[in-house]
Amino acid sequence: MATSTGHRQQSQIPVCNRVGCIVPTASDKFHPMGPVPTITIHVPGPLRTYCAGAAQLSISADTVRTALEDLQRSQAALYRNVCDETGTVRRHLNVFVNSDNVRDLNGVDTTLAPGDVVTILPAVSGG
Amino acid sequence: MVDRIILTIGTKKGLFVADAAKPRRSFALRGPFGPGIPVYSTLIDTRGTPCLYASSCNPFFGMKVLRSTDMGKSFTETKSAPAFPKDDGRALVNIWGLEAGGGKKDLWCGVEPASLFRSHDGGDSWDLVPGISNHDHARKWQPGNGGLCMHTIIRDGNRVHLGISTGGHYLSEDGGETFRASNQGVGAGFAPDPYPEFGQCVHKIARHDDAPGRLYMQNHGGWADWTGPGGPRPDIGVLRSDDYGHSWRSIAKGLPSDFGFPIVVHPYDADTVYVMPLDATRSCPGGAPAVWRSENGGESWSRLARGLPRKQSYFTVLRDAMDIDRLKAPALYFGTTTGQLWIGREGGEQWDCLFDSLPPIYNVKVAVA
Repeated sequence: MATSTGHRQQSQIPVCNRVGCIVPTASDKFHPMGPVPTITIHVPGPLRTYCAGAAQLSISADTVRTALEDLQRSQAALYRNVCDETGTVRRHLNVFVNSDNVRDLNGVDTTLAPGDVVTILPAVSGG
Repeated sequence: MVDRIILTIGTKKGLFVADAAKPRRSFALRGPFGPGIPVYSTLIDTRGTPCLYASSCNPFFGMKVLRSTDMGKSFTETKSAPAFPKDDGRALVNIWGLEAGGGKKDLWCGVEPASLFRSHDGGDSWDLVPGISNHDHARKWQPGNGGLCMHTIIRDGNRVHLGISTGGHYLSEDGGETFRASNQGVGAGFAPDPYPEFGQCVHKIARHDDAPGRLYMQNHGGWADWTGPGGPRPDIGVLRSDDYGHSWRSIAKGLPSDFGFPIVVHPYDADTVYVMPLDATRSCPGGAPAVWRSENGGESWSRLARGLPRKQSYFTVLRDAMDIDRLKAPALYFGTTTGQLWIGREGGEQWDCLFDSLPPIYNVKVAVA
């Protein structure tokens, strides 16, 4: 699938059938070997209180799923705001890789390249 | 310290706290706390040093429990909110009920999807109560219009009464270890069987310490004209039990409508009970709001509307948006979906609007602390 960044390859392995679910799937066993890219997670203002005020976090992850798994380990309070207890990205949150919503890519199995910016944003919803 | 009347007001846009000296002449308002985030449940815990709790139901970032130890001047998040075990498959949608438990720091919490949690440390950690949360019926309950919520938790010694919409009334007689559906006489208007074992849309349940075994229920009424299978179901909306909730009977005769959400008992008279009848559109009948009071346990009802609007008022009063204080001449309080907070002095004889432009109100609790 072509993206604005042009460098992302999409997994051909079926992903968890719940949109945004980061519960490990069979595909997790087959990550290609190689250096894991360092990416930046942009933290929205309301969530910075859960990660010591950090606006950005630098982590190593080759997919959005592994980025969220890293957050679960390293920033548990922040993670609970992003994913519910089933491991699904909360319904009214959007996760972008650079300028693309992962819903339009490969969900949480969207691959990441060095320097990518993952942005977590509340959806425009509510009243 | 001089006792004050303290009100917690959960709204669509955060929590407000109001307090007043005992004559209740004027209330000072603070907030919003957790601004912009809906608050469906609050608790004023007067055991020991008063502590205020509120759920903060963030549709974006999930549920939080807020706690105040300074009488509502400031709130902080507890260390965690209720959460289902990872392998359960359910995810918390909302927090509908917070109640004090037996121990000094014990709390009970009813949530959506309908389940029960307990905390032994003032809300910093929570455990699922499996006897009801994993009940054989739990995966068969269906959400009502407000969601599949456990909204009522009543503790009475070893008995625990739960109200679930739509699940019905569940009773434990072993301190919450096991529960069974206890809905004999509780009707349902939205199913072919008018009296199913479970699945009723219970709106609220209330009890009084001085009347052992007595319970009052506001059920989902409004089915008098139903013409489908099972026939009409008049008067199933307001009910009473005299056997600890094992069976229920209608006390709706004399009300303008048996539909409504809250039901409240007078603090010093178990025979005096208050409801807020609404019509089929969930608004005040004829555009003229009124609280209705029975002083004989539901045998007859009288209308309390002095000071309330006489026309053109079509608000809703939700299930947890009415309460009564415990002063010598108790005052009722209710909040509306149009953001008004009303006080009914002298047990509802005279109504005044305390605040008229709050966000839509979901929850009102009052205590003397």
